[in-house]
Amino acid sequence: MSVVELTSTTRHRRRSFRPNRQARNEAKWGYLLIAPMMIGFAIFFLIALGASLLLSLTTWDMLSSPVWVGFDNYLNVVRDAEFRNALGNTVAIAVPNVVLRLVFSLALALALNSNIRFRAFYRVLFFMPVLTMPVAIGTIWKWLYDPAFGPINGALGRLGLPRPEWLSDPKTAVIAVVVVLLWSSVGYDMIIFLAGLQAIPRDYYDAAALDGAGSWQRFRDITVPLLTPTTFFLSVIGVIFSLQVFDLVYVMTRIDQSNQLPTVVYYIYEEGFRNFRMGYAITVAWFLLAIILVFTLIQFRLQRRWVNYT
Amino acid sequence: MDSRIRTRLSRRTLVGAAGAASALALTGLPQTSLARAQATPYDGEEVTITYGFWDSAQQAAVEAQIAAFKAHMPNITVEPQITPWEDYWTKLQTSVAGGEAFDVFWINSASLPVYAASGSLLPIDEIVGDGGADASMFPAPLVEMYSYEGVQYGLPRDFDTIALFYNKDLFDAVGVEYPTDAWTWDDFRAAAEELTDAENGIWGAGLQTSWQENYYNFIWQNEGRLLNDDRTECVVNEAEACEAFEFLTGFFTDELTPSIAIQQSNPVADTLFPAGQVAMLTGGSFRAGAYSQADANIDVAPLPQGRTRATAIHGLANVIWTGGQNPGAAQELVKFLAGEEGERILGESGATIPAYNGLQDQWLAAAPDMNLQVFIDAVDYSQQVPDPEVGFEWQIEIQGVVIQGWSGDIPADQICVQAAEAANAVL
Amino acid sequence: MSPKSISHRLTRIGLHVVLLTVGLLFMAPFIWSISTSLKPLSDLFQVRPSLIPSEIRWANYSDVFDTAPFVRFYANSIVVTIARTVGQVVIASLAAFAFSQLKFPGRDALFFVLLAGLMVPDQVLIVPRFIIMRELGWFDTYQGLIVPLLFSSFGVFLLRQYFLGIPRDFHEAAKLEGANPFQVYWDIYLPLAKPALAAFGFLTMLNSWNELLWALTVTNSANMQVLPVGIALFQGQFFTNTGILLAAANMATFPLLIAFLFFQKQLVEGVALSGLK
Repeated sequence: MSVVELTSTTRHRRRSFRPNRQARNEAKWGYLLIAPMMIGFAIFFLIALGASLLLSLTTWDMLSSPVWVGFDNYLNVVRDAEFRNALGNTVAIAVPNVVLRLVFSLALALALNSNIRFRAFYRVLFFMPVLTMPVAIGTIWKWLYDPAFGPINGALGRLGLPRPEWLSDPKTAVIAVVVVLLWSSVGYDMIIFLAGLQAIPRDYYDAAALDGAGSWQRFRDITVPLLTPTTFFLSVIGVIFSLQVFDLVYVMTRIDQSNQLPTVVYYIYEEGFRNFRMGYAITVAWFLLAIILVFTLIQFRLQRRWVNYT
Repeated sequence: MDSRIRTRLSRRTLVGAAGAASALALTGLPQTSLARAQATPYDGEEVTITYGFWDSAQQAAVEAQIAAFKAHMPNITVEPQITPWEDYWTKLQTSVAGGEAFDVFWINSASLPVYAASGSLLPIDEIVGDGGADASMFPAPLVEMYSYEGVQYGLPRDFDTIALFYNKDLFDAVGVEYPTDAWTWDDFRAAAEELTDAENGIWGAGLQTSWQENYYNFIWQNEGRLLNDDRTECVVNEAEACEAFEFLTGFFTDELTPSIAIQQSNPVADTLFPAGQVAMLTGGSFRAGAYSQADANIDVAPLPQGRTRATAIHGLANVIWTGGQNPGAAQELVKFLAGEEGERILGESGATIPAYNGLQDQWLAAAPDMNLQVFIDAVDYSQQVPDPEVGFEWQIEIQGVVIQGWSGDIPADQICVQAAEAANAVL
Repeated sequence: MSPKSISHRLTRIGLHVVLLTVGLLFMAPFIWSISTSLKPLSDLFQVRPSLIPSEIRWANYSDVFDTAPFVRFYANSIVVTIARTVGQVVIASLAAFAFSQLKFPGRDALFFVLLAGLMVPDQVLIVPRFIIMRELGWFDTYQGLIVPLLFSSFGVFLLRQYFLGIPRDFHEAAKLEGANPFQVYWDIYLPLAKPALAAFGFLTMLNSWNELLWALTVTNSANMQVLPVGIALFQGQFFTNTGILLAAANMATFPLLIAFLFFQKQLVEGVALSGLK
């Protein structure tokens, strides 16, 4: 019996009868199985989060005791032009980053999941940036973007094209940073797509091939829909992580102590640790949490329309 | 930025604070008090204290100091705890906030006021003078750097000053005479023009974006000031400082120094100068060791003088955390480290210039082929960066404006005005 | 040869050309970091760095061991990484199974609360966590390094999505045979999820191996340090010998590279679902 048949026959029988006792039993198992995760999460995350909620209502330099200020921090964040600037930079980086990551990592995963030769070698190749130390990544990309001695502008100059000052001009810096982020993360997403592709039963393809479906048709009717749980995962995670970009952007764009392209998490770090305003920094973090939460909720709402759970 | 801080402070109400105190207790934060902390003297019992620092190049020297201290105080065990520079301050703040910090640790001048004002540091008046440690054995600006509102919190361990590094081969190639201690700003500028060779990608001067290694020196040489005497207001918009900024900006507009965009990819002091693309660099004594190993033929001269001579001096100090269990033992360690023996061990390592007068020459061996004596002589006309209680954010604000100005986005004569505005917004 | 097979071949060759060209760009920084790690200090001051060192300086690698107790860092990293990886995979897969296959009141709300764990930057939670460690007396201990990082919302979400993609018929069939939910998880879902478990396990291993912020916060003594902290020590305030820094970094990367070579096979060759008929 093939999997395809199994699907159609059992669907009729699903939950034809189900006493309450069984539902209670299932719930009991559910709580039991999530217990280790939820208890650890409560101790090491929720308590800290609760404390940070209190601290967001204070001015606190971390060195002396916090001083209660009520909702002042929240009102000030709303009016804070530096926060808005950081948020603008973050969104400008995050939007192309999320979309391009999905497209490129899917393409790579598909290419390297086929029975192409040397595929193991290629997988290693494209995963290398994930393994490479951030300091090596930062140094070599800065050299590539170097306006005077770098190979990118060298090539542009030979072609008679303008030679932008990539990292010091905020407009080109966003492009430069998105390229580096994409380069350094497609390998990561590719791994998750590759795993997702294995969840698609081979038999589906065999059956479709028997029915005379071409390779494009099989891709459209089997691969794409059955990969949607993974695609959904990566788009949710992509948004969550992209809105928290920090290290690489800072390493790439800083000049001495001065950050040319501050992002929200950089601003949180700067306010909290460098400027001794941790109460305010935590408040900014709560705004960021709210923004990410909204995007995530929307994605979960929309998933019914396109995500295919068997 | 300014209004944000002010409104937060002005709206702080007593009623809110009373109700909040109990809520905050839930966060588990240690309640610090600003009452002046005092240490009971060490009574000889067996204790272990921790010593926090960041420089792995000085790890061997620190361990040798600890071993020598142990010989004097066999019952005090000192555990060295090294944290990478990039993360040192984050870790220090977190551990002070969390109530479990190093007993003794390195601090720099910019961080002293905020740590002292919050009651995180133990005053060391008792161990200075009759108590054993002799403050007069250190350069005065360094001692003053670690006093806050008349109370001494630390004694210096080492220092650095700024001078003019130059590439002899590039000077020889165009036949310009090497810099001397008689050089003025005009000599510096004229030499930079002669040495610049745009076709071959050679710049006469390397002007970094670093305040300590670059523009503060020039402001002081022009008899300008950074802050007013109360350290409450930035005054770089005064004529003397403005002139200094305009003088320096001229190097960028005339392309006598690598542009900001180029420096972003190739920090002048790290690559362009030691690679032989830049003929002169104003830089700190801490760079000498690396330059002596570069292929370029590098020597050093005093900074050119303006209306007067000036160089920035900075040094680190050892301080004691108020929350520690054994402040008496910590005091013994700090006293030893500030003494002749402790400083001699540091000097012998060659890793840094010991702050102790008379021991500084030991460092000259770090790069025997360079005239390192200029860094030690510079102490006589050195100045310290004034540090207000709010940390060093104001200096970064100034730097942001300076970078914009040197990138050509702000007219040369407006840099000082906007820099002062930006700094005052956070002061 | 038929025209069709010729064009097929050309497409293949074209694909290889594209993959190889782009792939080289992906490999470049690693090659550069190998080359730089073998350079003497004088080679590092170059505006156009050459790929070949003027002389090969193996001593950069031995300098790493002379400067820091790197062997101890290695051992700590291995212990901590193994413990975190095994713990995360077990805890997250149990929860992911329950969230995707079992029904219980509050399920979706709890799942969403877990996701919120990914939305707050660690920097703002670090002091409260520090205090929790102090209260537990876990400073400078292995449990302090390991336990707080055993609970991965990322892993629960990743595995939940994978479990949701497995046809439910497997579950129903087992239930009809009288298996309890744990047996279903253990006998059916875990084996079927081998590619996802391998991916999650490897990514966890990678993250754990490179984790710096928490390790710095919760440890003090040299004996308890892990590799990322050890590597960061080679970055100075004013001067960094990039050759030695990258020698240290490369030594941390090699074990990961070897692990990846092994892992990428598990990822795609554990053909799961066609086995069950």
